[in-house]
Amino acid sequence: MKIMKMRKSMIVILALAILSFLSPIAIGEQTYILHILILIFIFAAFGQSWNLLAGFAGQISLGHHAFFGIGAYTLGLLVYYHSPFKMNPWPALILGGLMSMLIGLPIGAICFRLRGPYFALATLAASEVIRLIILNTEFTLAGRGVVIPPPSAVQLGPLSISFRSKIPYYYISLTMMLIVFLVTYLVVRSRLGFKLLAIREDEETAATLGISPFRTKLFALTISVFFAGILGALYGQYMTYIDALTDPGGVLAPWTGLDAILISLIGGMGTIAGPIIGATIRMGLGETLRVIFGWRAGVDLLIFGLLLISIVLFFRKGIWGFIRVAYRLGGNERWPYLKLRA
Amino acid sequence: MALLEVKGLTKYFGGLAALKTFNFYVEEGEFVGVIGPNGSGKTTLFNCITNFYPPTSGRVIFKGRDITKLPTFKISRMGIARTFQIPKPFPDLTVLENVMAGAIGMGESILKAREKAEEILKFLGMEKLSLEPAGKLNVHGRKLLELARALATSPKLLLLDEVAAGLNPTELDFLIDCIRKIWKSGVTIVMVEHVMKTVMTLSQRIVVLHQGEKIAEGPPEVIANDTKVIEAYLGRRYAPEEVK
Amino acid sequence: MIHVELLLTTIVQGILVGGIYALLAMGTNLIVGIMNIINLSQGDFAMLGMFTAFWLFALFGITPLISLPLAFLLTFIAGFLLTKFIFVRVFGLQPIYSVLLTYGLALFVMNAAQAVWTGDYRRIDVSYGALRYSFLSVNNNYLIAFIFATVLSFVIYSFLTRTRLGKAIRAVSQDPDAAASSGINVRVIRAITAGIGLGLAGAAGVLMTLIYFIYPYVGSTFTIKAIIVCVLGGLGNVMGAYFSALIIGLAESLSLFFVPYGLKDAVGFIIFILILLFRPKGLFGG
Repeated sequence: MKIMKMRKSMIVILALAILSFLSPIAIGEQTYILHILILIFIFAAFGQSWNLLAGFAGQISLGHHAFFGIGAYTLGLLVYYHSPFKMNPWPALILGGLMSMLIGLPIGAICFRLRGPYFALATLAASEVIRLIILNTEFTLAGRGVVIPPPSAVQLGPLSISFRSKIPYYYISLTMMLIVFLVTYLVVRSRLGFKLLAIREDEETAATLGISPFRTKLFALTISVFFAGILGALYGQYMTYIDALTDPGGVLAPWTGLDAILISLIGGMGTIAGPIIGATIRMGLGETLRVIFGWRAGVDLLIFGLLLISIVLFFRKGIWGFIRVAYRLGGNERWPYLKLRA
Repeated sequence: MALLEVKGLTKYFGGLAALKTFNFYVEEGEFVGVIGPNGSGKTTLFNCITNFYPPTSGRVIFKGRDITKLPTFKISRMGIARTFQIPKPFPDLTVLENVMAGAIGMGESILKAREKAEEILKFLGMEKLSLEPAGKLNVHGRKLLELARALATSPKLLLLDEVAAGLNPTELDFLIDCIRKIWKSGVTIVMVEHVMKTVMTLSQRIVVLHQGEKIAEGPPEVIANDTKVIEAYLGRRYAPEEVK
Repeated sequence: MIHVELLLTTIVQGILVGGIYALLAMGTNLIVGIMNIINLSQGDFAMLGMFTAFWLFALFGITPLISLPLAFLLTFIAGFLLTKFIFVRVFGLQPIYSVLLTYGLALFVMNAAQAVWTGDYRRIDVSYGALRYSFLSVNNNYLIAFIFATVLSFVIYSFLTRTRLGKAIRAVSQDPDAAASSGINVRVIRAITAGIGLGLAGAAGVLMTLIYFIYPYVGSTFTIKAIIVCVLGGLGNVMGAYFSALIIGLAESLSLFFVPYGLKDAVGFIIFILILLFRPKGLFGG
């Protein structure tokens, strides 16, 4: 019976994946829809990276946009400004992830000493410091931001991740998202995931069993910020503009970090499918609000604030979390996702 | 060289001394019992040995290495396992997963951890409960689970903290039997206990704590008749015959 | 070679700004103490206080200092109601939810303000002049803000230590169960305390109009600074928080000799991280 169930969910996922890959045929060149989907993919993955740290490792980071931004800036600066021999964007994506890791590790090492809300605060403070430094340093072009030349000005083609059509971006971000989701799934079902659950249950007791809470959390953080960095780089490359101001849509804006949080919460913090559901809703909601209210600044964030409050008060499990528990797919009230390899 | 040496261990909580320059050693393969009235420092001893609370002063040496300041998880990995007086299972995980956690903490793969956990649960007669959420177990089950989980870390030294409390005679006999088997398999055991029958039956040597200090040490029969010990327990007397 | 006059002026200015931080932090401290909730919207309620003062000034010509009681009252009511209806719902939960809750609240407040009043920068053009000496000059706006902040802090401190209500508040902060057994209505006390906590934010906001520009997003940095001050002073330590606030203000001011203006705020954050690393109990706590 269990094997049958497993197969069924795998089939569903596979079917959805295939559908996603075939969709552009039906969508064609409708840039608007493609744009939304690209954002959904990138932010679902970004949300998932936050979710790994928050939902599975139990560490709420309020500064994830910092890592997103570091990745973007790494790519922007390396490829378009500071490299003597014009680095190719593809390795720069990875370097963006690595740079995030480089900065994230010491920050994590510092912040993990703190329990509960103080960890969150420390990440908030650390991310602000990073943002301010980037905003005020000439090396990172200060407040001017990094402008990535549009496709017409550079060599087109897959090598430079610069395309006139949105379809290649669609496939790249879709693939990226699938990778992030797959890795998260593997991590959660691995020894690391087991240790994370033990730590979430009872950190001190887990330590008496030979589990190092510090190292385990750090490991999870590493993976989380690595992906955040790559995704930020991809986002930056796609949007062709990278800056550190607090305008919505900016890579280092706190609202970007908020997106990761909202996406995970709406979809279901601590579940694997959650972020994609959350991303779809978040982007859909964002667009709807934009249609209704135009660019009147602040209205969408206002609603997101309300949404955040409502979810915390009434719907903490999120959509997928709720479904999992209601339909007994393998979690309980406290942890919507409990499927270990056991 | 003794497996475990405790030298001058002192622990103050505020102004209160829970342990005062306590000296103690355990040879490999021994079964040592630690008894004493409530508040005498028995659990504190375990907490300091495993650095669950850091001692105020003194040293703990295990297998020749000074482990006094090592983080708890490292101490566990070196081979010291302990159970808690009030069991702390991971409530949302199944019994099997709880035990697996011990093995995984020691670096085993998930597969190996599961094999090991299944073995241990069988040994303790708990296989039927494998898939129960640990939060639903009764006291007896939790105590056994605590023991099982500790065993999963393949310890060389097992510190048992009042495992017998709250068990009925049948459960107690079963537990004593299991512990004896564990000891015979080569695990050194230090047992803190209040239930006299348990500790007197199993121990080769007993250490008596009172107000943080060692007041007596020796084989069970001797300890049972030691006046200092009897005084400490306010006059309750255990004649040698009652020990069996 | 730094001019003595510049140095002294900077030092004094920093300390004076600290007064406002102290007032804000006192509010944050109260809320942490009574409900274990770290209020990430403190600065935004201060912003509401700023706007209260601004509109009273712009529409009716009322100087900010007179608006102080009204701003306090408004934010007090907000705090009271929020506690009664919203904060109670996160009490038993993991602390993380209270963080997300106040974060969402902050978002809501600052963007509601943005939607209603637009993001334009506004000012209250009231100047109290300056004291100029040969070795130092003091902007009186800062001085007056400082004086009022300090007086208000002292008033609240006395209230907490000498009145029955204040003692009840402290009792609930330390041991809610014991307080309840002594017949204290814990729920009401919580609401009142949070009311005072946010009230102080509103009051601080009024004082802030003497120094800062008024715009919806102005509150965010102040929120974090208030928290930094609380941690630096040792959570729950009112006196410690006061002096820590002055220290932070001073550090920020002095940092201007070393870093560009944009990084001034970062100084407080870096201090925060250092404190959490090396002295989590705070300078005066423990």
